[in-house]
Amino acid sequence: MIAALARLAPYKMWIAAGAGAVAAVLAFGAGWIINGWRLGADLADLRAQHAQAQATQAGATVSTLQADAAAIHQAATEYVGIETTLAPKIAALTKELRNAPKLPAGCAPDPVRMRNLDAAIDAANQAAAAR
Amino acid sequence: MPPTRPPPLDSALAAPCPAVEKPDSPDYDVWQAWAINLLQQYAGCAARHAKIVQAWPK
Repeated sequence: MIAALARLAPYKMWIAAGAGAVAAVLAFGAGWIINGWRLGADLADLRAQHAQAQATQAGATVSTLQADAAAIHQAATEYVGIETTLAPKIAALTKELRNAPKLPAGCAPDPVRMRNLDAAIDAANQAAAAR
Repeated sequence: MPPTRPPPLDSALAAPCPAVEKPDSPDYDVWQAWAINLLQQYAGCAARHAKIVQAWPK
């Protein structure tokens, strides 16, 4: 190839060399563009896969949250039911106590027992209020 | 991304246990009424605790 170029007149040699350089640049550009398209397609595919994975994960998270909220609501409803069942039983016992025979006169806790109970209540409240 | 924290507790479950009141007077009937009321409070708190444990996300 070089020998063939050497046989040409100098100006023809420059024209041939220029044409070769232009062809090389065009080939390189075409390759660059085609490679860009290919990489762009790969990137779009990766982005689509990522978006799909995120959507799947988000759907699972929402389902879990909905299940948790339903469990909390059910537990609260059951708790209110327990309180509602207990309240009249306690009210009946309190009423029964009010109607019980009177205790003998002077039958009352002494100050020692009063202080003892008060101290126990204070200790319980202190423990319950601790955070 | 949606939040990953569990939903808040229902207000009925989140309510704190009430403080224990002292009996009004030195009288055994008052004490017994006080004790009955205390047992009601205890039962409510115990039920609330059990339901919170039941509702806690597994």
